[in-house]
Amino acid sequence: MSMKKIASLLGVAAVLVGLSACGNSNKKTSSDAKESKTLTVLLSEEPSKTNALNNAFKKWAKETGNKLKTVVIPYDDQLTKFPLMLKNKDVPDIVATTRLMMLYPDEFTDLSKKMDTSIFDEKALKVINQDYTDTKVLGAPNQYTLSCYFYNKDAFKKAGITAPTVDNPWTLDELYANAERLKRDGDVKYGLAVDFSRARYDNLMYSNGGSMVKKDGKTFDVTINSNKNVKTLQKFISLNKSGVMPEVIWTGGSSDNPADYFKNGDVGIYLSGTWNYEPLNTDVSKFDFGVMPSPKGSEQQSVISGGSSLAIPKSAKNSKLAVQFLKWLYKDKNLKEYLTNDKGISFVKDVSYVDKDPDVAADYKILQSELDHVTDQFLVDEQSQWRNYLDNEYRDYLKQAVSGEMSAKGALDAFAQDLSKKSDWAVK
Amino acid sequence: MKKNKSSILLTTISVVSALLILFPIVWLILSSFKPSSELFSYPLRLFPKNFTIDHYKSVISGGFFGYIYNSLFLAVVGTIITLAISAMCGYALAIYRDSIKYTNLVFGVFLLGTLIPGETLTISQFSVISFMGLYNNIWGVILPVVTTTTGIFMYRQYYMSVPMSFVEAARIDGASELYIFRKIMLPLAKSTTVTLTLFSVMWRWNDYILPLLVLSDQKKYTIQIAIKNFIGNTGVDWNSILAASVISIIPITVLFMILQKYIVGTDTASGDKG
Amino acid sequence: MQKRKNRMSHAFWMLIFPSGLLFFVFFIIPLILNIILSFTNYDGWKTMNFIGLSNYQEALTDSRFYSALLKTFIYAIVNLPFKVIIPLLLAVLLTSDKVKFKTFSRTAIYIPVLLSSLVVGITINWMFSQEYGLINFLIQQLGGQPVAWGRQPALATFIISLASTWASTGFYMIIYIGAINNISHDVYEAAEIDGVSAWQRLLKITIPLLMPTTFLVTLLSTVNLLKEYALIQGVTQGGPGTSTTFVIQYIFDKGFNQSLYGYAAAMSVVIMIIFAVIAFIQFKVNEGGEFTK
Repeated sequence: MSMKKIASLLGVAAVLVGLSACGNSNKKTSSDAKESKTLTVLLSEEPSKTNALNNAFKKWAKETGNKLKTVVIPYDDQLTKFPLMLKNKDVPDIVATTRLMMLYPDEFTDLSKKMDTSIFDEKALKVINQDYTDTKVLGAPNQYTLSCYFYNKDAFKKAGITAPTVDNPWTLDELYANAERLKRDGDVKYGLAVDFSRARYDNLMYSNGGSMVKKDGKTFDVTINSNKNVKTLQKFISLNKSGVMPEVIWTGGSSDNPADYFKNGDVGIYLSGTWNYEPLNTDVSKFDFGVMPSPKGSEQQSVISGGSSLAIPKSAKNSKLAVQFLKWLYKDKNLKEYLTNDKGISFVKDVSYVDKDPDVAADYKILQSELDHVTDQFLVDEQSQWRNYLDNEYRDYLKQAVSGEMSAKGALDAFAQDLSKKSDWAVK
Repeated sequence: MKKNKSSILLTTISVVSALLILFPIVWLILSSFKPSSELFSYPLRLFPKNFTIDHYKSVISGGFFGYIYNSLFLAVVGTIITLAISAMCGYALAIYRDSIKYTNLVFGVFLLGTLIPGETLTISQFSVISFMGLYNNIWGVILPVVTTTTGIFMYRQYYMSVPMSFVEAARIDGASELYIFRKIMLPLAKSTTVTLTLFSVMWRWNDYILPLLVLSDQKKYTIQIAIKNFIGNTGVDWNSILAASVISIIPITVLFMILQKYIVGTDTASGDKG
Repeated sequence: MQKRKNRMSHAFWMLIFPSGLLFFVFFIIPLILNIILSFTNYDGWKTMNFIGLSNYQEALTDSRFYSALLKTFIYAIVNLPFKVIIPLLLAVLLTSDKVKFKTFSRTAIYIPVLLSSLVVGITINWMFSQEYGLINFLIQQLGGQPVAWGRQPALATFIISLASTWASTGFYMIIYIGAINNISHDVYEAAEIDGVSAWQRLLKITIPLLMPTTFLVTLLSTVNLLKEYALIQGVTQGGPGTSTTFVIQYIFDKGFNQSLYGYAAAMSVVIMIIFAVIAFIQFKVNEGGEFTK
């Protein structure tokens, strides 16, 4: 009797242990299933119905009779998750990413050997892949983005401000002064809002001639805590303090997003990026908005370019299929359709996209011209790949400066020390 | 008369506190039926001006039911295992406390489980999971978390309050140890079982970090991951996230309503709580 | 007799086995692994060299680690009374014969407990958003200025505390209700006959008799407050500045965001020791209490 019970208990234990074994076999069958042509795609956010990339994948699958399996992992989580996937030999066939190939260069296929990568605009290719030394092409661009200034046309009208033109841009001081005026007379709560991202803030630094690092022979010097940069940050802080900018965005501690503020008509000028053009175009109905050229600081105008690309991990099971997709995507007809859906700036030589709506087309003309204002300082900073070390930390220091926990100088000094320690570059 | 007055006063205080506590959820639910143009427009209104279920439609058409199914599976299977092993363990720790030497030591080891912030063990836990081949496997999300010190503790507490004479009497009748546990003692602990069922379902339903690390197949994603993914790269998709949050609350609340009289007791309940 | 002892011993280990095995595999092994990692410079990928005590030396001289710890302690100490007293008062209220609609009130108070940290974060953010939140709207309707919830460290900490208490009150209230129901009615009746006022009965009878439960609630709340992570991630992400970056989040940032897994492991070992000491002290203060009886 009692033995029987013990046996049944052992049975429970056996089931528990067996579960792990059963787990294994499950896994095997799922990888067997991949033999039929299914392309596993890693995206960074839940695709909306109008998501150009996702729709391109769908169209390709339909045309070629292949199947798709989409996995969504946000950029931040990708950094944690991707090495785990590699270790478990469970990588997607194609990855839409901004940073993974930079962090794990050995794990991705050199696309220049698989397809004609000379079709890509060279500058775009370098900026998007953040690769300035290698001849390898680890990612095929799928989005080329620029930081850009959106403005509320109605608020400008109310405050009696005329938007600057490509030939006659504002100075940074004019930008700040007009932001104050907008807050006063433009019937908006905030004159200026800047995304909570260092890639937006840094434009202010670059336009005043500052930089993160300077090239010193083969190595770099850390220059982030230069006087120029401290002054730029101090001005930024004072604009936050005086309420011209929504302070809560840059102090952290809130999930408020300046894009919502702008969409709701509460912001005069909004420093964001070209990828927000399409969402704003769909969501903004209460007022007219436009884009304006970047303002000139003490040195120059500045935009920061970036983007995302499609990369194929070396250990991907269906890498051939992934290459096949890339070749399909960059065919003239498909690419034009893709760019039109994405309302993106072209990253392929001789292919550009002109919107049917004349207002939109005019805005794109401005954006296209902004491409010239990618600064040398930015390119040097990118070459140093400092972000491999301390990307989030930089923004955290800026956040602490805006929140008043540290002084502008204190924050930049501390970050310079951290960066120097991690990278072995001297602080100059 | 005086008694009546204080009764009204105390009832009012309790009902008002309850409504205040409930209100944020009501606000969440009402907001989820507002069209996107109303979400951010001042003046805010309690009820939607143009009632819409579009957000729900779009969330559901994005495959949300699949995630609900996964979470349900995880919760149900995980809870069954948790109940079985916690009852066994808690019972043993209570009933044999005088006859087996190491019971308190064993219990002490389990108590470690509540003191140590499990979150900090995530990475090492993951290494074990992938070593066992449970990566991207639903069992890799279930098995690591089914042992809960709280569950063991609850059963142990309960069985400590049961007079040992119950067990002794059964032993004298010749019942085996495991028979006593299964047929006599386990049914006694009904209220503990119900309470732990709710806790366990709630924990599994709300798990986030482990599923995020272990599962890499969208089809296996759980509801919490799906909600998190509405927080996009360029901002929160409030329309979807509100609707998704409301959907995520429904199943667990329904379960709670069913078990509610065991958990919170009823107006007349007194002294029958285990 | 010996035979019976053997049988009991068999049954004991048999019953312990499933929990014990799973606990060993998924908790004890990771715990040991974590301690090993704390002596390495593991980066979550390919680098993993033993570097002795360096991580510990760094942790003990890391001023940010200390500041995160300090903030965590302050947060836990300030919040602890609310975590214990509010559920206690509600439980007393909702077991009183004079109160009506008890089932409704208990149920309503319990519902927030059911929500995940993620959804709690979403709900609270939705209420307290600076620009479009309901609370600021109401303040403005009443003629006030909108409050910058995320801007002031104290306010941001207040929001987290509110969220945390909101989501846990029902849970601890139910524990108290169970305990109050177990107190014999005779005690109250005797006191009532002696003319002891209701307030005195609460202070002199109910609260002292609930001491073991209060100990349990205090211990659980302390540990949970010290461990607070997911909620903060959902509400303030540690801001403004780093004013709500508590210790678990700091460890996570170092581990996951900066790939310093070895260092994060070392800090987590330090934290475990500190937590264990705190729990031990609480045990001692309670002289064993319910746990070891």
